[in-house]
Amino acid sequence: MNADLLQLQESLCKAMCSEVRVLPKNKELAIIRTPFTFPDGDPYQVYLKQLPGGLLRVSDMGHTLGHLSYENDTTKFRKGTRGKLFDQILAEGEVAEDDGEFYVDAEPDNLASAIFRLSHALIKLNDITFLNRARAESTFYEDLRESLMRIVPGAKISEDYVYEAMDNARDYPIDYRIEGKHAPLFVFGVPNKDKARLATIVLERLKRANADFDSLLIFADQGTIPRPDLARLSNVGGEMIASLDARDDFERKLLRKVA
Amino acid sequence: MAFESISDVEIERLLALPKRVSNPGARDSRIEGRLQRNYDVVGEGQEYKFQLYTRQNIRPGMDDDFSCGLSWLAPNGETLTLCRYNGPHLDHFNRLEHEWLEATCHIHRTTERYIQAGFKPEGHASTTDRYRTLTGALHCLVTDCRISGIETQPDEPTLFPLP
Repeated sequence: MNADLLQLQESLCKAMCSEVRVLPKNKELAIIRTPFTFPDGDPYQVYLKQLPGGLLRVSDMGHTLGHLSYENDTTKFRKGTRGKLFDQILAEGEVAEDDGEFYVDAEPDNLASAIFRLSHALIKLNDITFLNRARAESTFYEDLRESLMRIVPGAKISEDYVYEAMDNARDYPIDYRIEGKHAPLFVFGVPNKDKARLATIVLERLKRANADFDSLLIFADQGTIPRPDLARLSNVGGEMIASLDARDDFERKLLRKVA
Repeated sequence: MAFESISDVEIERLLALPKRVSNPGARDSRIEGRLQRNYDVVGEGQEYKFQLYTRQNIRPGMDDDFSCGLSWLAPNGETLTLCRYNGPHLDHFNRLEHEWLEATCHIHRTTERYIQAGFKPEGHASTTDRYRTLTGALHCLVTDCRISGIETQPDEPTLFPLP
């Protein structure tokens, strides 16, 4: 590399420094403005306060979990898979927590490092929201689609199918219609109990309309569906696949029905 | 409905739809150093469901760290923040416009532009001087989004506006 690294470093330092500002907030706190923002454009909040003995505390003053609570139940961040990630993020950054406030205590000479460590941890904590239910369901539908397309030629599949030969047909959508051997195969993805109930209603409606079809119900995790909902769905539905992990069952049951 | 296909017209329709709080007795919960309250809201005709929420940081010196917002609970199980009224606790960056708003109260609104650009739907915000406290912000939100069923109060006018 031929560039003048020293000069590059100097200009980079200037540019990065200009992105960071220290502003007074009140008698106890100063704001450290950094360029790091939540996805909605609000900045991660980093504050500075003096501690006895000359130490400085770099803290988010509890704002991060407050911000994440707009769309998430943050108490879930401390349980299960999320909880493990949560603890790991804090441990890796050597970030402490007090009732939802994240902070790093540092000597004045180590302030920059403390700010980077805290900011890095806050950004990673935001990523825990990727594990929310809606995203997990969305991923399930993407995986379902990919699995179907892998087994059946796309030309035989209609997505978001509506069986027009009944009243208010658009209120009773079918995830997939696949050309079947004897009758069309209607496929429903079932990531949760709400969808199990909806699929039950749609299947009942199709039966009342004397539709000629087979059905295949594919669960994200059949074990999470409450027993009464599962029983009702079993009464009206056809073949079931407990999860997309049951790849062989899925392929066998699907190919048995497909033209 | 995938939010990728939602238009400004549909967003405005959801915001302007008359709505009613169905649990007006909801109370604050103290969680992780903040007070939070969630109201269930239904749109006219019961067809649409929303959530109205308030958040207030209660740590010393953080009075201005508050928010209230309205989310649409879509039939597909996803949640779309339609708007959020923030306190003046820190700046805001509008990504598409490449502009920083200084630390003033600001209102986030979901827009088709931000969705189409792949950003957070409510990523755009505008500054406002219509409120100074969470109480005032909630009053503005409830008025703007035509929500009935709870009593709210506007902030008192002040002769000494915030700098």
